[in-house]
Amino acid sequence: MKIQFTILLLFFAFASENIFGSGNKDPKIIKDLFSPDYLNFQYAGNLGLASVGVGYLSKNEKHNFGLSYGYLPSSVNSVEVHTVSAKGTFNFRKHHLSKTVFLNGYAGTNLLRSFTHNTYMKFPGHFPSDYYIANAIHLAPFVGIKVGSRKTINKFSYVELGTLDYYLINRFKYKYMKFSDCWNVCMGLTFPLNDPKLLSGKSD
Amino acid sequence: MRLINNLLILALCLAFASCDEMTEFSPYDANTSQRNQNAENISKIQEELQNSDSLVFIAISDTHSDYSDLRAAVKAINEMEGISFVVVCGDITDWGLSKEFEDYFGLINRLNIPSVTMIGNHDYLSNGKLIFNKLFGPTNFSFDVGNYRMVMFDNVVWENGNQEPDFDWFKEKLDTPEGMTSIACFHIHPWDPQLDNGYADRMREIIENKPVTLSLFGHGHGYKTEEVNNRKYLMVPDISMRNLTKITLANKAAKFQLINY
Repeated sequence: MKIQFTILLLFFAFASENIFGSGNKDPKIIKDLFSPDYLNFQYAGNLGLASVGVGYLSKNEKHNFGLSYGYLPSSVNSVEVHTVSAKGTFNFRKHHLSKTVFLNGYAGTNLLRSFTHNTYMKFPGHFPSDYYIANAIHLAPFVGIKVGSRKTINKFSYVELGTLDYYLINRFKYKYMKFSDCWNVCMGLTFPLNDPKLLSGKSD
Repeated sequence: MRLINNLLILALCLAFASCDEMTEFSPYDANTSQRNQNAENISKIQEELQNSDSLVFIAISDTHSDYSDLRAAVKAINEMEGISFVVVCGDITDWGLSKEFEDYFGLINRLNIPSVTMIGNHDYLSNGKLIFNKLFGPTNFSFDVGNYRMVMFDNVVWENGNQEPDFDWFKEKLDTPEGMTSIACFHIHPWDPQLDNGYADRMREIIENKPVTLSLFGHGHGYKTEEVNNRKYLMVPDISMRNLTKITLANKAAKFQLINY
C-alpha cells in the first residue's frame, strides 16, 4: 500500500506540474479530437486500483457526468476485477479561495458493472431461474471535494468518500454497526479536453 | 496561483494518506484482515478437549447478513455454560463480498469460546471462496476432538462451477480409527436439488457405510430431524429464527436440543 501511495504522490506531483503549469497545448486541437470536457484518472474507490474515464460538465456547471473503466490486477489481492462505471454528480455551491483557485463540494453516484469471478447479470443455465438477482451491478454513492483552477474549470483534483448501496442498506438496517465502516476513500484528477473558458481565453 | 494549487493538491494527498485504512479498490476485492481463523480455533478446541468422551457444542447456520440476530446469538452463547465450541454451517454472507465476511467475523469473533465456520452456497458468490480460504482456510476440513472427528464437507455444487463435491475426501475422512465416530457437517441438505445427479445418494451411502453419529447441515432455513438406516440427520435453523441447536455427544450417541433466545 505504501509503495502504491508513493507512486501516486509522484504521479500527482507530475500531474500538477502539467495541469497547472503554463500549458503549451492547443486546446482547439484537443477539442477537435474529443467531445468530452475532460479526461479523468482515479486511484482506488470502488472502481479498481486505478481507473480512467471521460467526463462532461453541464452548461450551468451544476452537474457532471462521466464514464470510466477501472482495473484491479490479481497481483494486489489475488483477484482480477474489471469495472465500467457511469457517474453522475451534483455540484454544491462553488467557493473561490482566491482569484485563481476554486473549491467545490459535490455528491453523486456511480453505477458500477463489474466483471470478476462468479459475478453475473444473468446466472448460468444450471441455476434455477430467479434463484439469485444480478450481483454484477451496484450503485456506489459518494461525496467529494474538488479543487481546481478558475481559469480552466475542467481541470481539478478531487478526493471522494464512497460506499456501496448494499453496505448503506445494512448500516441503516443494523444501526449498531459503525456507519463510518462502510466508506472508502479515493482520489483523482482531470485533464481538460474541452473547456469553454480555456477555449475562449477568458478567466473569471 | 501555481503555488496555491500545488499546496492544495499536496494537502489532498496528505489527507488521502491519513486515510490509508479506508482505501479500498473494489467491493469484489479479496482483502482480509485475518488469516486461517478455523485452524487457530481448532487448536484452541483441541487444547481444551483432549481425551474427552463427551462433547457439547452449539450449531448455527445461515447467518447471511442478519447481523442483529447473529449478535443476539453470540450474546446468548456467551451467557451459556458448558459449551465447548460453535459450528457455523455456512451461508455467512449474501453475496460473498469481503465486507460481509469482515462484518460476520467481527461479530462471531466476540464469542468467548472458539468457533469453526463452514462455507455455504452464498459464500461462493463473487470471489467469496477465495476470501473464505484466506480468512478461514480450506473449505473441506476436519479435526479430531476427544473420541469424535468433525468432518466439515464442502458440498456446494452450483456456485462451485457445477462441480462434483470431493466425495473421495469425504469418504477418507469418515474412515476413522477404531473407537472413534464422526460428525459429518455440510451446508447443502440431502433433499436439495443441488444434490440431484445422484450426489445426495452418494453422500448418504458414504455416511451409512461409516461410523457417523450425526449429520449436521443448514441451507433449508428450518429445523428438521430425520433418522434413515440408523443414521441421524439434523437441519439447523437459520439465525433469524432465533434458535440455537445444542448438540450433546456422549457414548457415540447424539442428543440435540433447540434453545430459543
